[in-house]
Amino acid sequence: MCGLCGFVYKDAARTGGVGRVLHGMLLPMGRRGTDSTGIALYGPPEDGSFVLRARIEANSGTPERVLETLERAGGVRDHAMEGPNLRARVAYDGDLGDLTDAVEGVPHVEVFSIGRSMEIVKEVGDANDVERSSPFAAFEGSHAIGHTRMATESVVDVAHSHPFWARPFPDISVVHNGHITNYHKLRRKLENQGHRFATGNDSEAIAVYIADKLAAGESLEDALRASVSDLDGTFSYLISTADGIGCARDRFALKPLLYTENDEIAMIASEEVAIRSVDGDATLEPRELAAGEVRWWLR
Amino acid sequence: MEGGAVSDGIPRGRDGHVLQPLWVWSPETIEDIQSKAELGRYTNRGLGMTKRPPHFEDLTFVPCTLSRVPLEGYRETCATSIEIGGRHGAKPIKLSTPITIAGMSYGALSRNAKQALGMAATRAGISTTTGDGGMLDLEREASDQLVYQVLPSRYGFNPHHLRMANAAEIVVGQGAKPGTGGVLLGAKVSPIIAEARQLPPGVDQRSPVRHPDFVGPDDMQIKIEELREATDGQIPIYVKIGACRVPDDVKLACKAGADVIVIDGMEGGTGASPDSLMNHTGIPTMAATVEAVAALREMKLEGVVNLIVSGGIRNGVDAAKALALGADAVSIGTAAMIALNCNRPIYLEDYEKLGTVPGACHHCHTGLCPVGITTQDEDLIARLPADEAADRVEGFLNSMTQELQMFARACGKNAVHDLEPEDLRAMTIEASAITGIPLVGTNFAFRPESFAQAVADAMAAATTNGHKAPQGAH
Amino acid sequence: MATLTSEIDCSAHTTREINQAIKRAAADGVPEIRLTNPAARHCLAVAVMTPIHVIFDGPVGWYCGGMSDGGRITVNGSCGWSVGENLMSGSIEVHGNGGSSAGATLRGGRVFVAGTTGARSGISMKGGTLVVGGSVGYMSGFMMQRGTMIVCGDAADGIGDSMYEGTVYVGGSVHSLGADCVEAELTDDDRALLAAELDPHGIASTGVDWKKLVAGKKLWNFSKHEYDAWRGAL
Repeated sequence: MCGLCGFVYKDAARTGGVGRVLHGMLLPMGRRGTDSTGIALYGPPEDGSFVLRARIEANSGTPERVLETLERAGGVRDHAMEGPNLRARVAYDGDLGDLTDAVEGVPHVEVFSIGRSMEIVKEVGDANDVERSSPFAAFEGSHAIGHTRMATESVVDVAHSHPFWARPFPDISVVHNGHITNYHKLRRKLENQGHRFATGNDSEAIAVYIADKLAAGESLEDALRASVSDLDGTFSYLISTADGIGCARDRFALKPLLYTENDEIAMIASEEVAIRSVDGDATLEPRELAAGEVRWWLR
Repeated sequence: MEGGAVSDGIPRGRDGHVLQPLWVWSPETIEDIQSKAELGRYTNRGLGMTKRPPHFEDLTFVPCTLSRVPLEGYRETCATSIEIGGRHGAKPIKLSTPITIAGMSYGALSRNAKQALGMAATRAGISTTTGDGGMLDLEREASDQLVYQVLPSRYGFNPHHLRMANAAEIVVGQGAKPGTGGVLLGAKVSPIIAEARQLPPGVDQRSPVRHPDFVGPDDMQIKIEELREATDGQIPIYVKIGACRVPDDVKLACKAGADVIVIDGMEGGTGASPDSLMNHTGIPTMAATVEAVAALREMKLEGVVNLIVSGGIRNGVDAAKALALGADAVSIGTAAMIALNCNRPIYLEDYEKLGTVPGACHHCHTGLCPVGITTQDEDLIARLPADEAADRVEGFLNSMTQELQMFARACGKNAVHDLEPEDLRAMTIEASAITGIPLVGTNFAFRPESFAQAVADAMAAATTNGHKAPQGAH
Repeated sequence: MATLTSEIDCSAHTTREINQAIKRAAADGVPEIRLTNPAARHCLAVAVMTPIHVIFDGPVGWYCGGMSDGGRITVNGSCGWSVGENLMSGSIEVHGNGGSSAGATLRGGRVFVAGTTGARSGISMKGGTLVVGGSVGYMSGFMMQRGTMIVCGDAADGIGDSMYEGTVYVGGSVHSLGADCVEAELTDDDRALLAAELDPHGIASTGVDWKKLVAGKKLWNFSKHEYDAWRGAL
């Protein structure tokens, strides 16, 4: 079980310190789960390229091989290694599933995200541990979602941590609090439709489910509404796309989720304490989402 | 063959032919279907499961003989005490012997029963636990160490009582009916009980399954904080769980901040619960114990978060085996009731009126307990004077302690908590597979890891010796 | 000699320190204590058992005032889940929105939330009064046993599901009634009660189409002939 948070600048032209905001929101919610923390941040896209975030096991000697793979794919515009974490901007216009497979074909590599603007960082521990591992507090962007984790059924490691990138769809990720009790049924259905899963974590299924609908041309609103009846179990979740953030709460309102907004920004969190760490003067009053309610903010 | 007078012990019809009930449509099943048809709902009753699960019964001890030295009874001391619940600096519960009396409600039990249990626990130096209905003043007076349950229903929950308690136990579920609320039939919701629970008398009292003010372990962490704030951090916080997905649940309870975890296996009893739930939910206590200990080890919290197991603990032998598997203590509910007089062959006509006999009575739900334990009827309660009943329970607790010490000494231990899995052997392949303890007559535990190891060893041996695949199991 | 008021800056203290300070002040007979910068922290003013007025200048988190008996708590801001849970007596006023399970298992006393509260407000109430100036969420009043819940706004699905003897008044719309929840006739006594409870908050009780909701009593004792009522209830 977990803590969720999200932040978005409503104006499509506006960007700002989303990294600092998320860092501030995540720290007080670390009590909800200290197994791991992760953030999906949306920065400025660059034409004809994708930004890739991956974890490369230390001392495996493989960063070079990953970079070679990316060069072969289309060319590396820039890259940086921070400990085991690689960030690279890649000139590429093919299928992201193929690119992910190629990169993960190199041993000891796990791709966190590939997107035009989305970058996922995760680490075992709390928001400060993520900052030490993959500095993000200075990240400037349009929106971001984040998560602190108390592992329920699957393993405690970075691979099983949220946010889950809905691979191979660019720029879509999910953070979830609760437990999807029809996960296996849902997963089998999506696999039969050709989708693939990287982990055994039920939350990943939400990402693939929504991405599947968006790829089929449904609106985010429709996908969110359908999820309320199609998903069984307890859930409050946030989904982020290139254009913004959506959220949904199960029909029995079992896991907390509140939001607040003004003309410029919207914030969503499991607990008000996350919002207060950013809006200390309490000018924005939070409201709980109702049972079965969905909300979305597209820039 | 004529007459049907053949007395060979085989059930025969009048014409002498052997009677052949079908396994699927047994007499029990036929009766069950027909009573459900009459009732229009599923059946409820008291106590616990009827079928036989894999149980501690399937393990045996291998005491010292030549290879190890046993300890003398009477002369060479064997320590039994343990302190539990100190993980976050609270004043721990001190158990002179590693046994506690499990939560049973005043409402399900009579006040004499609760008082007797409290008196016996005090004399034995252990703890009792309140139940779904709150704290009875008689029990607080009688029991030196009283654990206060926080249940989904919060019937009778009083923060002043919480502050008077020696520990608090958040009940997430129990072994008899995990994942489900309870039902106390109208017959047992007497005026006194009803008032204590703020209910109209005589209603069928439904208890919710979830707690009203939190959902899930992340929220429970905040609830635990609230309980600590309410009690100034002075008392241990227990979390009680019905044994289902034990590894996950134990880890989550640890993460949420529990000081003590109580795992109640499927053998656990109850005052009233659906019969189908009792037999078909949860996992056996022996299996749950193994999984809980492994989970605590993985979290590196063994001995830091204490583990109590309950559900079908019948005597000191079962307790000794549970300790050998790694539990810090056991909790008894049904066994304590039986020591009080449950199912004793007295007042036989009253058992008959209930449609049962001593030895097969699980009619707690009727409120007409012939021996005055699970009833609110004054005449019946009078059959259980608290003092004598307390003597019986104290006697039984002493016998359990003696058995614990006997087995520990036989295995060469001067403390019952030094019993280990290596002191046990499994009598069945099933018990071996569940516990990881070697099967008697072999050196092999029937677990996947053991098979994998055996194959690896065999292949290594084959390469070294240049032989083909070796014969024999091992 | 204790000062007449005390003030604590929550940002400088742990939750334990804050709560111990409140308890000490109450024991010393301090009549009022003001806490600034609570920043939506959890478990503040839990188990306040002696008369004292605790004022929070800012929002509080979960379980504010939970398990209290006799104190008075004012929150100038919003609150999280389970405000005043199992309150025995005394009062809690929240001048903002509340979370889910507001007033859960209330035993006595009074909880007032000026704004909107979430799902399962007034769940398993055993007495006391819960007043919500705005709307309440899903399954509010679930398994309510006794007491009074007044909802000035709307009630979401499942209001008053599986009640015993509580009474729910709804001023706005009722989305759907819970199991065994029925509408009863509003009496003059009811109108007087509503006026008495709402006037002090400046909330109009007249000119409102109040719905009075109580248990239909079909779920009080199992009856196989009430199959529709019991089909989903057990």
